Amino acid sequence: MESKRKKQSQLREVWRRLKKDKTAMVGLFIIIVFALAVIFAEQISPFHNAIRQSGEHRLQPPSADFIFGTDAFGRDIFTRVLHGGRISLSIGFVTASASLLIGGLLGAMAGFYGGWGDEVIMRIMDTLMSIPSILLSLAIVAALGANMTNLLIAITVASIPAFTRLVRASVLTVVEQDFIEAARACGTSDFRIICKHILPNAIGPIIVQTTASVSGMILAAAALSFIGMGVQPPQPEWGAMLSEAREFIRTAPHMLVFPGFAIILSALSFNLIGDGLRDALDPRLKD
Amino acid sequence: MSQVLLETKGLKKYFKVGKKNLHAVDDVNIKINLGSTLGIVGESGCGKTTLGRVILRLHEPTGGDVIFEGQSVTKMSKKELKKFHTSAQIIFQDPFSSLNPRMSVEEIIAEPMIVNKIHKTRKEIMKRTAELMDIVGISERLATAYPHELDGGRRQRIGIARALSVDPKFIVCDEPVSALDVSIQAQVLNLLMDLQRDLDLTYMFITHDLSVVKHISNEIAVMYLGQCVERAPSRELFANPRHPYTKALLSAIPIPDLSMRSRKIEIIKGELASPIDPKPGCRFAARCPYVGDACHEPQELSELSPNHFVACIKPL
Repeated sequence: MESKRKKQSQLREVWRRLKKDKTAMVGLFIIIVFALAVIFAEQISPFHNAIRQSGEHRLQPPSADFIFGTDAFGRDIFTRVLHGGRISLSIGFVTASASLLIGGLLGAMAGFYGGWGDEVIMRIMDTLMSIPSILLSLAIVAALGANMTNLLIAITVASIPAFTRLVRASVLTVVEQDFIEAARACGTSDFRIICKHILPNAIGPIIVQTTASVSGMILAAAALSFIGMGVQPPQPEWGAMLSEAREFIRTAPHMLVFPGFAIILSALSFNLIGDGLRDALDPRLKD
Repeated sequence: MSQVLLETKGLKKYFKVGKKNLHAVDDVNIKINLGSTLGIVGESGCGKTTLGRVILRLHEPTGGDVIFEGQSVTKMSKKELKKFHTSAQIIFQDPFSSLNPRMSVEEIIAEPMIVNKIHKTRKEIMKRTAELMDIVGISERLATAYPHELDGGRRQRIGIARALSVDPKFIVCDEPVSALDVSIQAQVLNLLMDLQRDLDLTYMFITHDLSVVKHISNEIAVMYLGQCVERAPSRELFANPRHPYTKALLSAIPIPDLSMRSRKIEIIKGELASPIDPKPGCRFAARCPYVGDACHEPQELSELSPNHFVACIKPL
């Protein structure tokens, strides 16, 4: 219980420093708005609006009735962006966290223990990396079948090698330092050394990579959806919407603008939060 | 005769370099008496630091044994080793890399006590931390400071406080002052000596600075290329070096006296031989001005006069 209280005060300290970072707070604000919007999407505009087709309302520009306009099937883009966000944001969030967790664990083990375990892990990662990631995801989805879970698995597997490499490299820069030796000399367990001494010192680039990868993940999902291997129509999804809009880029640019903006804004916000967190976690940048 | 706290028996540490072995520590036999200080001197790369780490089993030895209070350190289980590390601690050379930059001063000092569950409550740990800070002379207001905010001397004091936090009997001081300014060096050395007197500590003091080692040690061991070539009480070694290498080392100490200007320094020729798979025989033979045929035979450390050990076939 004692250590819990201490951990809380440390978190509070990080939060205090994060609050001072204006751009990070802007990013956090946008993400919270987005999250609330997609959580309450059903209340704001029910799902059937997103898939109801209407011949007479095709390709309409934004108006009072359709604030983001309509697409080639006369579907309301606002509702589609809203419900598409559920899919896109969760894809981004889940795959980024999953690859961070798995890649992070593998990378930390490879960097910390070295030896043949390091060799085995890194050679597997090299093999995965030698295959273009979109091709790898495609192969996985094709083998497992096209549905949401397999899409998540495919994108996660394709991005694990990058995380493993990054975490391993970050761990290696820390593990050789004397304070790790000092911790060992006090009988500190490997687990505590990794959690308390190595990860806090290696976390900066890892956080930035994670938040930066969220947008990449959304786009990877979009690419798979585009070739019919990801989210299945008529289910809306930002990337898929973007792909559909390409044909109408000259005649109905609003189709492209709104899902595009949604991707850009969420990616930007994640990056801003990531940068802010990295700085807030580093006591050397205090005040 | 006083009690032996720590003893090494034929201690070896080889590092694999491709298919060859780098003999970092090769058959070292030393003894440290309770409450005394053994100075380990030698030039860069002679295995001093490795010896310190192998004694604490931070590196696994390749051969030989370390006996601490009658117990074999090399045969200890994980649990016993953890307990051993509350009696034997280390102070590092570089105060900039030996402190975790993400932990505050009090966290750094408290960490070993938390890990080893030395005190039951957080309150007791914090109280002990404050005491330790006072003992090593760090002002209380720096408790929540981070290492990057402090200078080298203060950082080294934190390193000392961390080592003391588990109430050790024995501390390996791995060049604790060589990264500091000369003025700070004296302060830290005096602190270490005061602590030794007050807490009955035993030190193994690793350094390449002979004036420092003379100041602090009761006994000195001279290392050359992984081997202990001479071991004697401090005064005896400085007055009467018997190994040619020790003699050359001592004559290289500058004497701040104008009348000594014309003093001849015994310069040893040649380069340090490679520690990778060295040839048998005296490792100093190739540079020794007194070299003879018998020097290519393996050299044993033998007691020439009481407590004065030399590994040379024809000592000076």
